[in-house]
Parts: sequence; structure tokens; C-alpha cells
Amino acid sequence: MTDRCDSDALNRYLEDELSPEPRRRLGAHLRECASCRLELTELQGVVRLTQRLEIPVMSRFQAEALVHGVRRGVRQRYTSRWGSWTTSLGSAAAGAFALLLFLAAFDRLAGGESDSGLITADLPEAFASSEDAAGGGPTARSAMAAHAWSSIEVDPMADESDAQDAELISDIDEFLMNTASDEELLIQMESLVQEEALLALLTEY
Amino acid sequence: MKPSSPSDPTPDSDTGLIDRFRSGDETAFEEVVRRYQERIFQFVHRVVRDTEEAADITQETFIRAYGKLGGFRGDSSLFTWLYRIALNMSINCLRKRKLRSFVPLWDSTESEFRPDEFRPDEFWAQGGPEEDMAASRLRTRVEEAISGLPPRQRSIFVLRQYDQLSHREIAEVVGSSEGAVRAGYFHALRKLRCALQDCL
Repeated sequence: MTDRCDSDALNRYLEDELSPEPRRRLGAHLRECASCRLELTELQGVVRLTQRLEIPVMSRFQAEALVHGVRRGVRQRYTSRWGSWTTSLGSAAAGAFALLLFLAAFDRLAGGESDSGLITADLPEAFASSEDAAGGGPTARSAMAAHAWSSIEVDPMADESDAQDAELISDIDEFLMNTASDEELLIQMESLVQEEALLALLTEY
Repeated sequence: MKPSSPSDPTPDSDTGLIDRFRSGDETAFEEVVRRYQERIFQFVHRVVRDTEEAADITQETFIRAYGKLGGFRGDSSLFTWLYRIALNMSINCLRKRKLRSFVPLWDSTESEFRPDEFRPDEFWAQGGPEEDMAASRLRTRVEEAISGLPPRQRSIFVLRQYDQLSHREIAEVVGSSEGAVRAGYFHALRKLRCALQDCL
């Protein structure tokens, strides 16, 4: 190119962005400058050649698959983030609960060694005897032991309700094995529900 | 479909969709995906030249956009913002590919172009097997020449040539000035001219 060659003007001319006066000047230059003429012609050829490349088109199936993939990705990434967060939170809560249980047990144990004696009843007899020898008398200890047991709430109905649950499950299994009618199934389910409601009522009072 | 103006407040406009999404309407995001997926796919495909990778990057672009759309400030239009995410991912893909492989991605001898066989008028026309072969070789040659551009320059070229974005829009996508975009496009054209010298 000569000194008068102007790359920016060529570029703007190619993009059809040249205003009239610079366009006239470029035209005058191109009439004299063979190398600029060749360059312009070849650059126009590049534009034409590259414009004719095929456009990659998405099929309708590909488009739907992509939408589905985005949905799934969003769900996995942003829900799993929440999920892992809640899992972590759950683990932390479980840990805190376990720690509380441990501290409560430790507190009871410590109390047993000092004055409340809530857990002493759980200790081996020999250990309890040695404590008797070291501290309070056997009468006081046995009173404390009685108190300790009473402080542990045991549901006397627990075993019974477990047995009843097992019996109910067995009934349902047996019924499902032997019954073919939906109507009968509904009746049976209704009676089971009533039975459960009755049990709940009994437990409450 | 022409993207709507950033200030257009109608529910179906880009701004309207963003507002709907922010107010908890998830279907608005799906509309964004359906509106722009093809354009993004085509752009990415032209940059990375691989259909599977282009589909993956397009999908990932929208998944990331979902996470960031709440914080979208609207300084640029939605589609240039999406292009920007897609461009960054495409350039990362090209970098990884370059690191992964030191061998050429295609066998140049397989698609060797022979200038003496070249008849410009028949090049893109559908003809017999020989013409198809020649046209196919030229296409490959042009694609290779575009792929040979540096990633940023290639992106500018693709956005200008195929997506027909304005210099201002391209500047928003690539994060530079309009002047730099103009110069980048011209440099790309000159490099292609050298690479395709025997086809011109």
C-alpha cells in the first residue's frame, strides 16, 4: 500500500459505513493503486466465500433435548446445592443432638457420682457397693436408685403397641394374599383405620 | 427472531421475561431458552466447530444464565449477555482442547484443496459427485481458515459475519471498545485472505 492507503477506510467501505466524502477519496485512490484494488477485491471475496458456509441448524428434537437438558441441569445444580446444604444442616443438627445426648448422659453420670445419684442404679453392684462404702449409706443409695429408675420414663404400652402393629401388618399381608376384591380391600382398610383410631384414642387417655 | 429492546416493558419482551423470572415465574426462563437457544448454538458451533460440544456449551450457557439472571443488571441486552457467557465458555473449551491435544484436529491431507480443480462458478452449486467433493473441500478449507484465527478474533468475525451484530453489540459481548472490534474484524479478514489466497 502507498502512503495514501487507508486500512480503516477500506474496512469501513467493506462494511458500507463510509460517508460520501471519504468514499470519494477512497475511490480516487483505488483508481491509482492496484495493490489496494487487489486487496479490496480479495477481501470482498473472503466475505462472499465465508458468507456461503452452511448454517448449523438445530432440529426440533435437538431443541427440545436442549430445553430438557437445561431444565435437568438447573434442577440438579441449584436443587442439589440446596439439597447438599440441607444435608449438611441435617448432619450438623444430628451432630448437635448427639452431643446434647452425650452431655446429658455425662451430666447424669457426674450427678450420680456426686449427689443426685440418678444413674447409680445402672451401675454394677460392686461399683455401687464401693460407692456405698465411700459415701452415703445403703438406705440413702437405694432411695436414690429408686428415684433414678422412676426418672427414666418407660412406656409400659410400648411392647404391647409394637405387638399390635406387627399384628396389623400381618393382618394386612394375609388379607392382601387372600383377597381379590377391591371393595373388600376398602372395607378391610376402613376397619384397620378405625382400629388404629381406637388405639390412638386409648393411648391418649 | 429479533431480540427485543432492553427497555421494552411488555411481558414477552426480554425485560418482561426477566421481570417475570425475578418474580418467581420459572416459565419465563424457559421462554428465554427457547428464544435464544438456536442463535447461541449456531454462534458456539461456529467458534468451536463441533456439534456435541456446541450443544453442551449452549446447555451450560443457559444453566449458568439461570443462576445469574437474578443479578442481571440490564446494562446490556439479554442476548448480548447470553452471548458473552457462551463466548467465555467457548474460549475456555478451545483452550482446553489446545491443552488436550498437540496433534492437528483434522487430517489436512484428507481434505487437501487443489486450486487447479477449483471452478468458482460451480463451487457452491449442487452437482455431481466430483463437484460435491470439490465444494466440500472448499467448505472444509474455509472452516479451517476460520478455525485458524485466534479465539477472540474468530469470535468477533463470527459475531459480525454470521450473527450480524453491530460493532457496539460485539463490543458488549467481548468486553472491549467498538474501535477494537472494528480493527479485530479487519485483521480477521486479512488473515483469512492470506489463508484462502489460492481460493480467491
